[in-house]
Amino acid sequence: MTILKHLIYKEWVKTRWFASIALLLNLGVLVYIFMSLRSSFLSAGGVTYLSALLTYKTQFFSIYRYIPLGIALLVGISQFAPEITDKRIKLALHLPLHNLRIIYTMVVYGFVLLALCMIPGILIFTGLISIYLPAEITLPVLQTMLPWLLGGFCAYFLIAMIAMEPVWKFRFLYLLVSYKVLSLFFMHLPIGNAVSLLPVLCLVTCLSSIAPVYTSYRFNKGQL
Amino acid sequence: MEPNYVIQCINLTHYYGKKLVYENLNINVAEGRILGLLGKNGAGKSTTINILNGFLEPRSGQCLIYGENTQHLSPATKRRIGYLIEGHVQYAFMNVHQIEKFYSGFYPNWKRDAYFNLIDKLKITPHQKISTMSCGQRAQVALGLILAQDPDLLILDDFSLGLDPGYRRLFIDYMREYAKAEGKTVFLTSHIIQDMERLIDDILIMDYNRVLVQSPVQDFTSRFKEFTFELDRDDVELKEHPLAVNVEHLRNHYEFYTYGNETEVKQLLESQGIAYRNFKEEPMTLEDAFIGLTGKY
Amino acid sequence: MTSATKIIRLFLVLLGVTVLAMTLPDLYRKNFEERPVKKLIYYSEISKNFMISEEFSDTLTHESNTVYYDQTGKQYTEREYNRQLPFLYTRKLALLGELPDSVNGVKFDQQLVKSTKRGMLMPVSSFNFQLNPLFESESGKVRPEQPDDLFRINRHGIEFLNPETNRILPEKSRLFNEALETAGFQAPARDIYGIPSTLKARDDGYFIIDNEGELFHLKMVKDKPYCRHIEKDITVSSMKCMVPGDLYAYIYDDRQQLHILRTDYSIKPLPIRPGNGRFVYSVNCFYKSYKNTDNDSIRLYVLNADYDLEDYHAMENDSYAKSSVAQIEQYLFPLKIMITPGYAHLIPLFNPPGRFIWLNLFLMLVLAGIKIRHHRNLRDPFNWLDLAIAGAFGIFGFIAVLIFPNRK
Repeated sequence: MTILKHLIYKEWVKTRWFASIALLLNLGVLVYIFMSLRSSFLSAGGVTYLSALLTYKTQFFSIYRYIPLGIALLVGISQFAPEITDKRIKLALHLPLHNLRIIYTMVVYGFVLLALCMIPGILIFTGLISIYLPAEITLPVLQTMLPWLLGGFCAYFLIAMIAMEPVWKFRFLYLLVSYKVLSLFFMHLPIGNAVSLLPVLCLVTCLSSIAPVYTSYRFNKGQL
Repeated sequence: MEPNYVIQCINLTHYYGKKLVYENLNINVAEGRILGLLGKNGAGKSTTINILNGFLEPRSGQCLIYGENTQHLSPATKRRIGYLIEGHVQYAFMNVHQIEKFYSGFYPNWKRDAYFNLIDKLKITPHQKISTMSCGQRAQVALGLILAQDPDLLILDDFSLGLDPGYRRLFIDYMREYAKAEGKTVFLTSHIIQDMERLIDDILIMDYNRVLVQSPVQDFTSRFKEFTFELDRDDVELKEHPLAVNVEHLRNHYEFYTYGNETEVKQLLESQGIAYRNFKEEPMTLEDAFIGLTGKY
Repeated sequence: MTSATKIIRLFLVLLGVTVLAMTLPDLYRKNFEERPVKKLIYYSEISKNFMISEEFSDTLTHESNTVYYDQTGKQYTEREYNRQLPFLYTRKLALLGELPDSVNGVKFDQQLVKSTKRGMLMPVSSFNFQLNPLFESESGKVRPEQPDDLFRINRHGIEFLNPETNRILPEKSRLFNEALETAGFQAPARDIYGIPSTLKARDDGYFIIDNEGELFHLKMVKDKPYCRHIEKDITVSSMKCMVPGDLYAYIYDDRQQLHILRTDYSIKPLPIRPGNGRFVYSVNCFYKSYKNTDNDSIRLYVLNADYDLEDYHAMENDSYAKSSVAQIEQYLFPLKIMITPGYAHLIPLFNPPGRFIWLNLFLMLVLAGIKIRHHRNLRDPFNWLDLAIAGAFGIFGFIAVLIFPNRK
C-alpha cells in the first residue's frame, strides 16, 4: 500500500494545478448555466419558459458540451507529457513493480481524478436545476450530457494509450482514430435522442480503458 | 551461469532494421567489478543498455541479470538495480524534496542521509524544480538518488554527458569509492575515456559490428602498445600484417598499434626490407589506446 | 504479446473497422459523387397533369439548364410551367400579373393560397418530453392561451404540475384521472403526441398511447376533461399531429404504413406504398399530394378530398445509388455504418457480397504476404484471425489490422 501511495504522490505533484483548474472550469460553467437558466426562468415566468423549452427543445446547457473533453486534456496531458518527454517513461518502468501495475496505477489515478473533477459538479448541477425543472426535463438533459462525460473519460484513456505508444507514426494514426471515435460522443443530437447510443458509448469507453495495455506492451518488447 | 556473474549476455545479436548492430556478443560482469563499455557513436552502447534494462528485445540471444532474463525482470531484482539515464534525466517537475519522498517508498533500504549529504552541497532553493537546475546539479541529484537507493548493481548510461570537469571528477570519485567500499557491481558507458580510466576495472570496447576488447583494463593497457618510427617512404602498407592492429601515418611518421612486442615489430620491418629510424614505444593513456584500436574518425 | 493483450488488440482492431466503416464510404462519396440531375414533380390543380422539371448542372462550368414537361412528355417553357402551378409560384405569377382568377370554380385569393399547407412526414422515432401544457380547447379566443400548469401521465395517472412551485395540483389531477379511468386509460402513458405551442388557430388536445398500446384523445373543454378512447386495428408507431384542419394527425403503423386520423376519429390507411416512409406533402382544399423519393424512383400520389387515390405518377430517380460511383463503392466497401436520425443508432448497411469479395480476397493475400515478409509466426491463431478480419471486412479490416499491428 505504501508503494501505491508514493506512485499516487508523483501523479498528484504533476497534476494538482491542472486538476484544480479543471475542477473550477467544470463548476464555473455549470454554475453559469444554472444562473442563466434561473434568470430566464424568473424573467419569463415558469410556465412560459418551460413551454418554450418543451416546444423548441432548447439545449440551454449546450456550452458544457466540450468541457469534459477539455478536462480530459488538462489531466491527461499534465499526467503523461512529463512521462514521455526525453523518454522519462523509462524511469517509471524501472521502478521495482510490474510494468502493467505502474501504468495502470497512473491510469486509474487519472480516471478517479477526472471523476472527481466532473461528477460532483454534475450532481450539484442536477440538484440546482431540479429547483426549476421537473424530472421530465432534468432527466433528458442529463441523458444528453452523459455522452459528453463518457467522451471525457474515453478521451483520457485514449490520451494514455497514445502517450504509451513510442513510435510517432502510430501515435499519429491513433490520434486520427481517436478523433473519429470521440466524434461519436460529441454529436449534435436533439435533446433526449442520445439515450439510444449510450450502450455503444459505454462499450467504447470500457474498451478504451484497456487500450493502454496494448501500447504499453511496446515498452517491454519494442523500441524505446 | 557461474554463481558470481551479475550480468551475463549470451550470443546477443541485434539489428536496426537491416543494419547489423552486433552479432553473437557475449558479456560477463562478475560481482564487485566495474565494467566500462566504450565505443564510437553508433557502435551499440545504448542498444546494450536498453537490452539490459528490458526496454529492447534483441533479435536473438539473451541477457541475464542475477539469473533473470532482462525482458522479464521481477520487481525484487529491479529493486537491486540502480539506473542512470543518459543525460541525468529525472522527473523535472519535482523538486529535490519531492523526488526523494517519491523514490523512498520503493526501496526498503532507502538511505536518506546519503542523498541529502550530496543535495545539501547544491546551491539551490528548497522548492526549486529540477527542470530549472543546471546539468551538473541534475547529475548530483541523480547520483544522490542512486546512492540512497543503495543498489547492488548500477547501470550508468553516459554518466559524463553534459558535465563540466568538476562534476565529472566528483561523480567518478564518489562512484569508485562507493562501489569498492560496498562491493557494488557497476556497468557504465561514457564518451570521455579519461574518466573511465579512473573508474573502471574491466573494459569492453565495441566497434561497428564487433567486440574489439573484453578484458581487465590493466591487461589491455599492458598488452596493447604503440610504436612510432620514421621511414624513408610514406607509402608503405603495413596494415594487412597480422601483427598490426592499426597503423596510422602522417607523411613518413608512422604509428604502429599492436599486441606484439618491440622485437616482433622490428623483425616485421626488417623482413620486408623497410629501413626505419627513431623507433620507440610510446606510453599510452586509455584514450590513446582506444583511438589507436578503433582509428581516428 | 500475452493472450490477454492479443485479445485487447483484437477489440481495438474491431473498433478501427467500425471507425473506418463510418468514415471511408463517406469520404469516398464526398470526393467522387457527381451532382445528380435535380428532378422535381408537382401536380397541377389547373390541368390535372403531373408537372416535372429537370435541372442539369455542369459542375465544371457551373452552368445549369432546366427543362419542363408533363407526364405525357409535352414540353413547357418556364413561364408556362409556372402558370400550371399557381399555389407554388404565387409570388412570381403575381409579379408578372399572371395569377388565375379562379381554380376549379373557386376564386383564387389570399385565403385560398394560405389554405395550402406543406410539410414533411417521417416515421422517425425520437424523443418527446412527457410533459406538456393542456390548453383550453374552446376558449373563444383567436389563439389558445398558455395555461398555468403542465401535465404528465406516469404510473400514478395524470398529474398537473405548477412549474413555479414544482407541486402537483391535486384537484385538477383527480378530476382528469377520473375521466381517464372512465375512458379505460391504463397509466402510464407510453407516448403523448400533440402541438404544445400556442401558435395555432385551434387546440385539438393530445393523442396518447397508454400502457396497453391503446389510443386516447385528451382535451380540456371549458375547464372540464374530455377523454375518449379511439378504436383502431393498427399498432401505432409514431404520430404527427396537424395544425387544425380536417385531420387530427397522421399515424405511422408498425409497418411504416401511413394512416390519417380524421376529426370523426376514423382511421383510414392512405393508398400510398410505404416505401422508405418519408413524404413531402402539400395539401389544399382540392388535392392532397404526397411525394416519396427513394434510391430508385420519385413517386407522387394525389388524393382527393376524401383521401382516395385520384392520380399517381412515378418516375425514375437518378439518385447517387444508381450512379457508377455508387456501383464502384459496392466493390470497394463491404458495408457502411450510418447513424439513424431521431433516436441515434449505429446501423450497418451491407453491400452485396458478390461485389466486394474479390477485393477482400486480394487484400487477404496482400496481408498474408506482409506477414510472411515480417516473419510472423503463422502457427499463431491470432495471425489467422487477422487474415479472417481482412477477408470479412475488406479494406477496413486490412487497414485496421495494420494500424494495430500484432507486435512481436
